[in-house]
Amino acid sequence: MTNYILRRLPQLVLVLFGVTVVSFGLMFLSGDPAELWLGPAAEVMTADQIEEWRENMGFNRPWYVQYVEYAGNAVRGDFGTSFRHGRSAMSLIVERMPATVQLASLALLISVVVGIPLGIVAAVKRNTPIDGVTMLFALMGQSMPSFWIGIMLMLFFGVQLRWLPISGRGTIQHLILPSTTLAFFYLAQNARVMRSSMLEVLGLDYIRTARAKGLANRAVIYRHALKNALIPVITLIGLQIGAMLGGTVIIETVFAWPGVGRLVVTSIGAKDFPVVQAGVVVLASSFVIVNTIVDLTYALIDPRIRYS
Amino acid sequence: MTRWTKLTLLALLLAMVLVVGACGGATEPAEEPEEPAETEEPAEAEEPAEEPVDHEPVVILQGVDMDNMDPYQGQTLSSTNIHLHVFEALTDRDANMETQPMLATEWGIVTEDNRTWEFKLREDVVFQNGDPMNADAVVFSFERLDEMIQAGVDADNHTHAILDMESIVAVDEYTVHLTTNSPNPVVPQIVNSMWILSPNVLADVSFEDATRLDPVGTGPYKLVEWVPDEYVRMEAWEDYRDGAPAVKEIMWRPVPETATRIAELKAGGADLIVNVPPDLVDDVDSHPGVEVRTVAGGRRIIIGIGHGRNPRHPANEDKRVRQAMNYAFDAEGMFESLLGGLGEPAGTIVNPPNSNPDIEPYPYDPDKAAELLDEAGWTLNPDTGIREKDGEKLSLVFHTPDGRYIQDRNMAQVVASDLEAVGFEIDLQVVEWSIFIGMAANQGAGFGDLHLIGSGTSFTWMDIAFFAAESGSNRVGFENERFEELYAELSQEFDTDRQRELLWELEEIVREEAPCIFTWFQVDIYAASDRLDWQPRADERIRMTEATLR
Repeated sequence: MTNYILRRLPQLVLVLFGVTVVSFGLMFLSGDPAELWLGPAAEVMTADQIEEWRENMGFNRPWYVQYVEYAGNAVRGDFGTSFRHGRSAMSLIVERMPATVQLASLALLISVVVGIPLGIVAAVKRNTPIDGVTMLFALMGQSMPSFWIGIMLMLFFGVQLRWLPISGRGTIQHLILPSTTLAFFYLAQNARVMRSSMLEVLGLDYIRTARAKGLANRAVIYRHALKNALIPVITLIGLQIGAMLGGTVIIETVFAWPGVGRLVVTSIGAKDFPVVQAGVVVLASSFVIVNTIVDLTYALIDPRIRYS
Repeated sequence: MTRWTKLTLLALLLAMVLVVGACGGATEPAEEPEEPAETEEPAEAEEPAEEPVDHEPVVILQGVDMDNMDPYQGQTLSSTNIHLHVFEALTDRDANMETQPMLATEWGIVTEDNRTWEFKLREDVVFQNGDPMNADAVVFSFERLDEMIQAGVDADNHTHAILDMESIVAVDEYTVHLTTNSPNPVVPQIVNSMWILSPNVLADVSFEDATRLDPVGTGPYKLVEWVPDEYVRMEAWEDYRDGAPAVKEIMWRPVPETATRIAELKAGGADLIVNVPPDLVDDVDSHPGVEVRTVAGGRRIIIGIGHGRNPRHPANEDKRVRQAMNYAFDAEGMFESLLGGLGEPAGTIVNPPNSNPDIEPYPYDPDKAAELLDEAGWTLNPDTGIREKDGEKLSLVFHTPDGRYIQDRNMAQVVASDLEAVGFEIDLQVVEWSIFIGMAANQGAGFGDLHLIGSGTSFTWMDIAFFAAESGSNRVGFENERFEELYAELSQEFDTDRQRELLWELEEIVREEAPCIFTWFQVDIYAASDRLDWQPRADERIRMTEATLR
């Protein structure tokens, strides 16, 4: 196990390094900072005033000097001060983390609690109308864009029926539409993978043996088949945890949910690069770290992985 | 499900929550120990969407949140709209875009070199915490912006640059002298966004801490609570010198997605929303209890014609060709096809109330356009349908951004096809915004023969500076001797009648010389609930002091 961890850690560091390079490169790819930040002010400022601004902001130094400073600070979690908010970019991200985690956790819970049983039912009732309806639902869930689902749910439950609040955060009701929307895609994915994995396991010899022993169908499915059929689903869920943190970007924007993803989107619009960089690094790091932990957990469960 | 799989799932969930929490906590320790959004949750009982609006507060949905508590840091429009309810300035821009007294009662030039302005202050004004509003507060506020810029804080560079202040001194308790580096006739207009702050509150506060300090102004509303990215809540200040405003409570919520803002308004969760897209105007307006309200905004959208000392296609050098482009453009047709009939053709780049009322937009007259082009020697080649002169085709490159201004890209397509109808060949290139502004730098050095661009305004005669030879916004290379002569005089002229004469003549020159195709002043589209009696302003400022509840 220790060996396995030692093998994984350098990968983790390498990925995180790559993320800082990319997020720093973003700033240089997006054009002249003076034009970007000053906007209309650049039209009325003299060349001297603009040069002085560059100097005050540190933009007149060579890019590698700026990168070394950036990377050094980034390691300490210091991405500089937000231009729009005048505060530490990292603190803005951290403040919004709870809202994002809350949304992603509930969505994950929905996608697991609903998706897995759906997959099991579809596999067990294979080639029946129940299977057909379930898989059609799953196909729709995976193929419809989430912002569209979100707006449709909003119009139906918010505007037509007026059962649920449309946007913002505050009460438990505020959580329902965004988390359901976010869960939709993953729920469908879980159901599909669960179904095919279950079908595969149900065809194996040991299941035939269990049935031959005269075990009830229920016992065969839940006690014998499910245990093995769940392994690929668990891997998938591990990946989904990370993806969901990033997937909240669109959902948070649509539902005006005060989380990290929406802050990053707004900051891109406002050219507030310290916040964009902090957000990208935090989201990417969460993804990488969560995935590493999931892999380690997985190795703990399944000896075949840690010895391979 | 067996016990171990359940446990694994639970462990995974827990791990996720812990990891995310831990990686946040480790990097930024103890800046704000409580996680505000989560702990405040039970205390927040308001559910704007739950019940139809029949009472206060007035809920306003803008695209983005307030930047921070300091009105000088971060300058998104959403933020200014919130701040201007708490803070006031020496002068104010009224609903007709005219400058009016606010904290100052009168002002004027007091030195021969025309560089020093005297402002007399109201003597009956106090800040919301009881501090006196006096000359010291004014001096403090102006000098603070200067210090911020020097310190590399991203403060209001725009106002700072136009004001170009040398010094400001308190002459007595209610008189200040403001000196600019060179004579500056627009000082009274520009100071309308120099918010007056209390030195007692802010003198010893760092610029970063000021972003989180509860704002204390002299304005009609007090800020009650700000939950970032959720809402800003305000209450009318009962002791305001002119009496508390009619709207007693305001809730500003940032809702980035247009469809969501519209849904909130329809469901009764909002009273006022911004930026309704033109194609949704009918849908929103037909909903019961909701009404669309539009205003011709200050943003000028033009299609610059590169010529003069910034040479492009030789045809653009000829005034007749540039005029022909204006005659060929069917503005009314474009408003009908793209903008649901909203919009007025423009013949100038100067906003009301300063603009010359006698200036007529170019009429749509393709025959006249053809005539002018023939006269200029660009004759139609019947085989290709494209005009030529000395073997050179009348073929122009046209750059447009996409999604920056209302319908920008589609507008460019309409203009291109109007021009093609009279014998131009247009190569329309849609350019991503960050590249586009790179092309716009250095007086539009990167632009092709034509470019669609918008420009904001300060609602002063400075609108005309757009085409001054040295101006950064003159991206077409327009340089006209008479224009420069008059403009030089205007920028040193302090007599308002003479200013007007000069400005109106400058507008006539610009119309005649046609350095651009005039399109429109972008219409701003809002939608409001029926209970809110409010009219939009041309400067995009939302003021609840101008509203009442029905």
